[in-house]
This record gives sequence, structure tokens and C-alpha cells, in this order.
Amino acid sequence: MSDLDEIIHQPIRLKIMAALLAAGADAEVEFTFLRGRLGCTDGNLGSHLDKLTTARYISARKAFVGRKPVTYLSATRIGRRAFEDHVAALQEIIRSPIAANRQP
Amino acid sequence: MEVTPQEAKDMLGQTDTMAALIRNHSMYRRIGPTLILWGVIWLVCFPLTALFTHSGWIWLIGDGIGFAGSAFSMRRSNTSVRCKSSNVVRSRVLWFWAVFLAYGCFWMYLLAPAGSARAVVFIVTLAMFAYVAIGLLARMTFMIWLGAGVTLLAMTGFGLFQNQPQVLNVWMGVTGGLALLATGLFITLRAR
Repeated sequence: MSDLDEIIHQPIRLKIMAALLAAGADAEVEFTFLRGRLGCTDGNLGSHLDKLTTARYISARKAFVGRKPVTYLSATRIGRRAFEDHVAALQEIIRSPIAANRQP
Repeated sequence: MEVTPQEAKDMLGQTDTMAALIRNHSMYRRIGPTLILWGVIWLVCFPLTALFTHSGWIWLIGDGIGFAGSAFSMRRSNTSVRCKSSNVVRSRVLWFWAVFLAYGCFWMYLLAPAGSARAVVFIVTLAMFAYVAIGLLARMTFMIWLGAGVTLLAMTGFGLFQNQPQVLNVWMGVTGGLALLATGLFITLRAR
């Protein structure tokens, strides 16, 4: 049975991972777009992204579109696996709540 | 970490909502301008067809502009979600439409004289059948409604004007063209 991941468990980080995975295996999402959809401030989103980057769940790429600097975010293979395991753990809790909550 | 089944359900609901939002955004950004373009082409070409006896050239130009414009619009669409594999998908979509419409034109040529009311309804409902099929395959509800709606408009037009193909062409241009245009504008605005 999969374990809940403490890094992904936080609601904003869970949504960030959901967004990056939904975009596709080889896709990147703009920082400002994600910020708008999550309703976060730059600082708040930045701190959540730092935690995910430190865990090597996501990677960031900086580029220029015209003269404007843009940050693109994408999920790493480790991040994908962690998110899928976390979702599996949540599904397990829904199916059998007592067993799933007996985790270390 | 203690999580109740209700909390787990809520979290999964939030991830599903977020995933749908991301998927819809890139889809809407690409399809919206294409629908607007085809709406305008229908609004212009169908009524023009009613004015000329030999009208094949109108659709040759209209379809040419439509395909070239769709390819350009899909390539240039400014979306906040970038995907390396989308080039492959784009070219598959364009090939699908080219083959599908060539197939439709071939059977229209064999079965019904060009310009007849049956020919108009056949090609329109065939294209809308593809809209519904794409909507079902790609889980795009608006495409299903659009396809079904324009099919209904085509059948209504056929019922009313089957002996007046010129009027049916104008009917199709105005109702079908406006339906495509309005849907395109709606989803383009929703993607902002």
C-alpha cells in the first residue's frame, strides 16, 4: 500500500503537482499562469515551489519570451511517481479508512 | 498523518478540478480561434454559394483559407502550458480533417449533385459528426453540444428549405456560421 507524502500533502503543493502532471509528460507550465489559477502571491507560490524543487519533484526553467523573463515549471520523474503514490494512498483511505491510517 | 475518508475525497476532488482546468486551458486556447475562423468562412461561403451556379471554387478558396488558418492558429496559439508533443498532435488533427473532408466530398460527388439541398446537409452533418466524435474521444463537452446543435439546425433547414437549396445555403451560413463563431468566442474568452 502507498504512503501519504508529507511534502505533497499540503493543499497548494498537491494542486501544483496535479497541474503539472495534467499538462502532460513533456509539458511545462508558466509560473504566472499557475499563480493565477491557484490564487497565490508570488512569495507564497515561490516558497511551495522551493519545497518541491528541494525534494526534486519539480524543475524550473527560466527563459525569455521577447524581452519578458518567464519561468516554466515541470514535474520530474520522481515527482510524478510521488504524486501517483500519494493519490493511490488517498484512494486507499477512501476504500478502507482504518487500514490506510495505520501508517508510521 | 491522520486523514479521514472525507478529507481524502476532498483532496482528490481538488486535484481533479485542477487537472481539468489545465487540460481545458490549452485545449480552449488552440480550438477557440480555429472555430472563430471556420464560423467566418461559413458565414461568407455558404451565402456566396447561393449566388453562383458553379460554386466549387468558393469552397476551394474557403477550405484552403480554413486549413491554412487553422494550422497557423494552432502553431501560434499563445498558451501558458507548453508541450513538446503537441506538434505531433496538431499535424495528426489537420491530417484527420483533410482526409475526412476529402472522403465527404468524394461521396457527395458520387451520391448527390453539387449544390443540392441533400449535398449541403450531408457535408454539414458529416463535419458535425466529426465534432461529436472528437468531443467524445477528447472529453470536450462543448464540441458534442456544438456538433449536435448544428446538426439539428441543418436538419431543420433541410425540412424547411429542401426545395430551395439557395435559401438552405444562406440558412446554413447564418445559423451554422454564427454557432461556430459564438462557440469559438465563448471558449476563447473562457481560456483567458
